[in-house]
Amino acid sequence: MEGKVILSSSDGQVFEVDMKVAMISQTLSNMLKDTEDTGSETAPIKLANVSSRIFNLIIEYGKYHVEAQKSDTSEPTADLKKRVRELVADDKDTLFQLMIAANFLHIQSLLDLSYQIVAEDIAACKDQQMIRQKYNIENDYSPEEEEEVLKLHNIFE
Amino acid sequence: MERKSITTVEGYTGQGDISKLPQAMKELIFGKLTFQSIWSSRMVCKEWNFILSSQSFLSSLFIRNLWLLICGQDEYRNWCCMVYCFSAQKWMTLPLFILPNPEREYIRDLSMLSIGQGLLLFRKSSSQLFVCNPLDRSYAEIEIDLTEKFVHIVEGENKEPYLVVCSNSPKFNFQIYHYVEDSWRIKCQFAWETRSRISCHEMVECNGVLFWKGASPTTIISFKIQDEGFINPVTVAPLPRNVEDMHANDFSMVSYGSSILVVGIFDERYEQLLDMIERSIRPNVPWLGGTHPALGGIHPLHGGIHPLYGGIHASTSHNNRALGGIPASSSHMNNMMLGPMNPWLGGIHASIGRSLPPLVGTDTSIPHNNPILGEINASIPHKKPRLGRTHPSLGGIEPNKTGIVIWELAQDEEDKLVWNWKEFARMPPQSLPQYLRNDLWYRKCACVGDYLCFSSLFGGEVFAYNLKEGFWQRLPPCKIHFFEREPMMMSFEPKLNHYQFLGKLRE
Repeated sequence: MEGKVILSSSDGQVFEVDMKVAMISQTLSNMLKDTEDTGSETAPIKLANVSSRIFNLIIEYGKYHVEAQKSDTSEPTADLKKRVRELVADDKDTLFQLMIAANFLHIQSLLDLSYQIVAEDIAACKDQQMIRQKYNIENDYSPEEEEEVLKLHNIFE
Repeated sequence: MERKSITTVEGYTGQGDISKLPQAMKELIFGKLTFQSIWSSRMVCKEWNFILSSQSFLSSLFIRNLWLLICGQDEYRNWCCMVYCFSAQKWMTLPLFILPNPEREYIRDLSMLSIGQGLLLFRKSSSQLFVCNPLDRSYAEIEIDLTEKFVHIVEGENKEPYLVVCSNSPKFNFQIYHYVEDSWRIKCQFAWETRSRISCHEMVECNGVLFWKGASPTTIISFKIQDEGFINPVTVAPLPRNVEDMHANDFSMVSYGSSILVVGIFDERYEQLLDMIERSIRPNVPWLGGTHPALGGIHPLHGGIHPLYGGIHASTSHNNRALGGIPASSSHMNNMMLGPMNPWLGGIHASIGRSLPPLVGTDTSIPHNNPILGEINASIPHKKPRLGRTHPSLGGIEPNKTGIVIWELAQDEEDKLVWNWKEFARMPPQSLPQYLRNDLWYRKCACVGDYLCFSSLFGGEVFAYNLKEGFWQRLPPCKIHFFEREPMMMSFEPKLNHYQFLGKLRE
């Protein structure tokens, strides 16, 4: 499929996106196929839950993704993951929003990469205290419970 | 003129709060955690612990972790278990407080039987097994008659563990137990008449085929567990050159991907000697021709056919002309899966006898009509000399002369019942780390992913050879000093999913 597709974000901004880039979203791809069948006019598709800020990132990612598919990078996934990390610039909120948007647009590769990034960040934490700090999670164990849990799960010295 | 609008019920207004993500998404994130980080994450908060300990999460989890596990008694006779994680490059202690508490219940003869499916298997008494998953502290005691028997744990259908109980007297007896309706029952059993003594305590599983080492004559025996539960002896694999000359304790079998590796030791001087003999035996050498009464053209290297399988035993075929004149070119037996009656394999195993003079200082160019050779051949020993340090003709193993040789036994691509040999790697002494050169005989080995690990005498030091990349690596020292000569060293795949039969949790 060639050409452009017009999309609008939740805050009303209109984007003209390369068809190839839009097609990485399973949701959009299905929708555009329907459009082709019916031959209806192209009008902006409204993405009610994706802000323009996040949508910009998704378009950026889409371009990388299309590029990566064309080129013979030895480690396309590692490369793309680096790109996603650059896009979210270590901001958790951005990453989670990107994740939600990727989920709803059905961009599996972006979803996997963002899960991977969160998991890596958690694994990079030295201990549970550091994870709590990083993600602002309240420790809801009572001291006794915590001791119990520590005893049960702290199997690696 | 908006044509369509895509909305979703799940909006995210979490302000960077991970707990506001949908549950399904959290499970998917957690599914990508590393093994160790699952533990620290469980300690973060109740919700995380709930998700990370739930059966639905654990059963969907796909982390293939492989550790090198060393388990044995330390100098105070306490059971210890250390695991080495190659990705994290560190040793970790797996606490074994799951074992019966020695203060409350002292078990004198507690011994380790096997490791498999993420479980450790101990023998508690002659009728009781103790099985535990050290990761979730679940355990069970199983009543099975263990008199003179060994038990292995293997993965059966539906990923459920089977217990393989075997003994080798008087026949090779073999029973498979599985867990149904709250008890362990025999699923199938099998007895096999064999003259080879099967080393029941060592078993390797590969693609549902179980392999045992057989000693005197040295061989490898395999059985397939079929879906219906029948056991089918697949192959009695004739061994490649040199393995048959080894004592069963001198080689190790490990499972590597979809093949079996046999790791043996070779002695450079012994090899030279074999090569010399091989070179000497050519049909055009008159005194060693096909009609030579002493040799009868029998290839000295390729005998060793299992007497059970119709091979001609050394003592009976001194002038068997039917087998005469086997060319020396057959020495590269890359494909050793020949039928039992194959003439190529038949015949005498002319191993080097005791009458050989020590090789030390011997000129490598033994003349073709060396009377010594004639003498050897005339007095083919009935008992194969062991390549041990006390081998009289070799004058003991000298350090820096022994190397490692690895053969691969892989399933034939066309006939899945056939397993073929080929030499996988040969490491001359000079390519081995200095530390390994001295005492190769006592080393055990285990294969963890791409790493072939060799332990030192007391398990404190381990060398690993990367089979894919071909380099040696010395693992950092493990802090436990094992008391036993040979602590159990195996590859261990930790399992988080809870087995139904492991009912109890150790407090």
